[in-house]
Formats: sequence, structure tokens, C-alpha cells
Amino acid sequence: MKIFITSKGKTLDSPVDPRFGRAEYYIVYDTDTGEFKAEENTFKRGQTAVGISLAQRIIEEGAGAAISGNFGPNAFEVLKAAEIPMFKAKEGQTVKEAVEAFLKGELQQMSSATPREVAEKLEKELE
Amino acid sequence: MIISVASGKGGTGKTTFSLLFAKAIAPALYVDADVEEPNGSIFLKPEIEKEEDFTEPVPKIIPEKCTYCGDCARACPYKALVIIPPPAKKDLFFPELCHSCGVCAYVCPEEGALIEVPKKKGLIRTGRAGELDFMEGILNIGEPTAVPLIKKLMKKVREYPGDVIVDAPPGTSCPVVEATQDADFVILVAEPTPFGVHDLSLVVDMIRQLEKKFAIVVNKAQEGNRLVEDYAEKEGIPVLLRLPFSENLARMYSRGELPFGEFKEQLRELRWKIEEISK
Repeated sequence: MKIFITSKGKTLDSPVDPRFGRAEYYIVYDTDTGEFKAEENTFKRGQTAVGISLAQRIIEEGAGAAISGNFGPNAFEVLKAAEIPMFKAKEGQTVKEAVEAFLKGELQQMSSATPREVAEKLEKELE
Repeated sequence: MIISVASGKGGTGKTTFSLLFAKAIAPALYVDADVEEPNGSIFLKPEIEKEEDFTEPVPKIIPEKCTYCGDCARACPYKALVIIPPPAKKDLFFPELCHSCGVCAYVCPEEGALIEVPKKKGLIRTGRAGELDFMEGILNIGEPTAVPLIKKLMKKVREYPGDVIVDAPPGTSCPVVEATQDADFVILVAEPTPFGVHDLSLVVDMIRQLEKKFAIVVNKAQEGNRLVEDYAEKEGIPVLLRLPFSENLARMYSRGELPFGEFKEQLRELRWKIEEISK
């Protein structure tokens, strides 16, 4: 299965980016082969619909799960409709640690979106 | 003649001036084109004769005919549509992102799979207040752009036989361009503060690019303060009127009243000055 993780860098040792739509990079990790690819999130500077855009990218990648720090309301709605479960990485976790925790079933599945106010505050802090 | 009233900075007195001016030169039409927060009617208290919905087309997917190919979602420049391919086969529409551009319906390859349905985005109200005709646009909260509603108002403005005073939104962005580009003349209402002059210079740049004839009216003018006049002189822009700062007017304004009847002669004279400059 492919897992989609938002990341602050291009390696598995990079920290998970706690922002979803405005994350710096994303990593698609294949749990069957251990192979991964890292790409820059080209939507991150967009004015609107960055969460929707990145959620659509997950669908296109055919990933079976998404890991980030937060999922905004629109991204949450799209991924829920696409039946792609979303998981919350723990603060400070690297991509590798988050994937390992996910495989052990230790990551918390998101049952609701991060409220818009919280997501926007986080975006400002990390700007 | 269509006279649009703009300001750059908010709160300089566009609505106050527009209403006093329109009342003074009535019969005329006053149009509140500040559709995101129209407030002219508070002071004018018009009798509303007609209320029509402002609608725009938005997409609707017909599940029986849609193949979920996703062409519409990929074409949408605003990402207002999401298509989830088979086996899930779902469509999501985010109305707050849709600009009603129609590209989704244009690119859809399946006959009847994506139809456009009207969505109410606001209201246009028309009426009368004494000798003055009244029109206002009210945009629904949460709509992404005020431009289409202002465009619709301006279409009606062009059909009006007499003088029209268009109370434009503040700023220098697309809605202001929409409310001023069809005007025969633009009045810029400025207040004599450093912020007022700064934002006035921004809207002057905008109006010059639209190649409109324009002049300045100073509001809240005070003895000995020449901030606006000095700027206008440097730029070669005529200052046609100074409305004095008045605590009484501010008190009336906060009660939803305006001193209609005051400044009447000066405002009528202003109408002639505009006629002269426009020649």
C-alpha cells in the first residue's frame, strides 16, 4: 500500500509537516517495497483551495492512507469521500517514525477536520 | 450622465457624499454598488418597489450520466469541483470557491452529465425616495466575488435616462474597477489625513489607467489643513468641493440620518462644474 505523508524535507528523516495543504513537500511511501518518492508541494503558495488540490493529488497517487499533523475541513471532506483514512502524526515525528508508528497501528485516525481557525493559526506560525 | 463615487480608503464619506449629492440634483438615480456592505438605504429609507434575485449558474453532476472521468475538476481553475473516480464514484462541489465561469460544463465530454443550475448569490432592490430613484445590490455573505453583481447593476445603470450617482466600494480592486469603468465622470472623496492621501494616490493611479475624467471632493475638511489640496495641486487634479468636518454630521450619521438639504446649492453647482470639465 502507498502512504502519503506531508513532509518538511525530501528524505525519510525529515520531520512530518504539521500543515496539510500548505506543507513544503510530500512523500509517497510504498509499504510493500520500502521505496519512496519525495515531491515539492506546488500548491502551497496558492491563495485558496490548497487542501482540496493536495487531496486530489493523493487520489491521483492511489494512496491508501494519508499522514499529516492536521487536515483542514475541505481536505478532510475530499479524503473522506474518497475513503482514504487520515492519520495524525505526533509532534516532532520524522516521516520514517510516523510510517513505523502507522504500521504498528499507533497513529490516531482523524475522525474530524482540524477547525479552520486552528489551521490558519498554525499556517501563520510556520510562515 | 453616470458619475461614480470612489475613494481608495474606506470611511472617507463616499455614501454621505453620494446621498447628499444625489438628493441635491434629483430627479436622479442613486445606486449602492458597495454590494458587500450596502448602507445607503439606511439613510435614504426608500420605498422598495421591486426585489429580484441575483443568480449565477453553478455545476450539478447527474450521477446516472457521469462517467467520473474528472475532466471538469481538472479544468476548474478554482478547484471548486472534485471528482472521485470509480470505484468510489463521488462528486464534491465547493460553492464558496465557484466563480460561475462555466468551464466545467464546456469541457464535459458526456452529454447531460454536468448541467448548470442557477444559484442565488444576492439581491437587487429598486425603489424610490421622494424624487430620487434608488437601486442597491446585496451580495450573499460568503460569495467569493462581488464583480458579477456589480456588473449586473451597471447594466441597469446604462439603461437609466437621467443622472446616476454610483456609490462604489472602497479600495482599488476589481469591484471598484467594475463600478467606475462605465462612468462618464468619477468623484474621488478624500479625507485630509496621511492615510487618506496615501490611499487617494492609489485610486488616482487606478482611475488614470481607466482613462476616466475625475476630480476630488474633500470631506471632513478642516481650516488650515491642505494635505489633500497640496497633493491635488502637485498632480494637477481639480478639487471641486470641500465639505467641512462636522461633529453634528457625525452624530446624525450614527443615528442613520443625513442633513439632506444642507450644501444643496454647492452640490448643484458641483454638477455644473462636472459638466464643464467633461466637455
